[in-house]
Amino acid sequence: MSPILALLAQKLEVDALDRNAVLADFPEWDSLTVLAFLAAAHAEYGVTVESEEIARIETAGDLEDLIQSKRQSHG
Amino acid sequence: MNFVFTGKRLAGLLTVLPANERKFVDDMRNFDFPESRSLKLKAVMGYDRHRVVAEGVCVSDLAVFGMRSLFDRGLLGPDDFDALVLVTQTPDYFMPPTSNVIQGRLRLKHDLFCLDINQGCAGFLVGLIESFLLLEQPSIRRVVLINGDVVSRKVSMKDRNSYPLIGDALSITVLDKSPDAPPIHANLQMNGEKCEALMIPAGGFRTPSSPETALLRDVGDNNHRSQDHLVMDGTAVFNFVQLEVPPMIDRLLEFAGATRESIDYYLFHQPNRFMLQKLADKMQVPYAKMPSNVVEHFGNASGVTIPTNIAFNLGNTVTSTRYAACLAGFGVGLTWSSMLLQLGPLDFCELIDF
Repeated sequence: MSPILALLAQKLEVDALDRNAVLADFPEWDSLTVLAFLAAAHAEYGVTVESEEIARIETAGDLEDLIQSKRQSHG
Repeated sequence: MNFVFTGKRLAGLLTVLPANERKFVDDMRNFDFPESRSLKLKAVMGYDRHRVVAEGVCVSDLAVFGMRSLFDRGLLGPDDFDALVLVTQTPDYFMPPTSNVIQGRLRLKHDLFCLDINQGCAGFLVGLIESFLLLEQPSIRRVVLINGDVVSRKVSMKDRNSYPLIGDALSITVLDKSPDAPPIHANLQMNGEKCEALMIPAGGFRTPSSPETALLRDVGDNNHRSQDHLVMDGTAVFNFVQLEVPPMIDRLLEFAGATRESIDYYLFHQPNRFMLQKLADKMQVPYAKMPSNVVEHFGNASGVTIPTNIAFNLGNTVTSTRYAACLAGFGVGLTWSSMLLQLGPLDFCELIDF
């Protein structure tokens, strides 16, 4: 797993996470987990994610790509 | 924008809390979430119990109770002050102003500037700035600043996003002229473009209350609320706090010519423990200097969390000690404001139950 997927897996309380995993299938994927993940991503990578952007995410891979694209554009 | 005030001091502070206390583990029964997830929320966010008013209690009730307590004990005289500034977003009525309602109930003099200010999380700071501006006038010898809200009455009990952290409270702060007082520095910014991050959509004139606006709906995340209820975008608020608050404090320190090391306490508005600890981490401030315990004991009563923070954490010592304090409020509006001042020794600083 990549570091971003590992961070997400930790927040979802699972040992492994596939890029194709649909986040809505995880009971742990609620507003609390979103906030905890975003706080950790902000602290770790310095990125900011808006709630509208989260609303468009379906899979773990989508979230990983979003974080990566923000890291590249530095925000 | 920056403000500097000279010859003024914060003289005394009283916080009134509703005696009625609810525990998170009881609130949980109303949520549409598995208990284990709710307990996880409790642990991560730092929730435990909160004070909410009994049915029908209004801001003027809390204010009159607190003011009479001060009058009865000789801590404040009814004729001592020339302005009554009330900061609230939960007025008794649309009209008349609640500051006038309080004036009437206490039979205060007519030569009194009564003013309602509609402000929330940064409301204590906005109220202080307004009060200090009023004290610049020769005819205004003393200002009483009342900051209170009963916002629990506008929160859905089935909204796990908001209900567990909301509290009700009211504070009364006495502001005096004091020729030898060191200068007070403050700053303030607002962003109305993001005003929907914290709002009550219906009940004003844009969307008047109706049977339709009162309908509880699952908003898509298992939280149930109506348009008459408070709605907060947690992600937007978190991002806003992380982005704007640290540079605001840096600008304040630069304006005041002060250093981080000189500050004894960061007495900030308390959205919840989680957000404050993340903020302390970002600002590299030790948790001991930035208390974050108000929400777990009393809940988040909007602007009033700052005076509650002072009274709860420093009440025993601030009547005999001088602290270099940095206050900050951030939220509704969006508004963000901070102030650097010498806090204490205060004439009085208490928490009482209503």
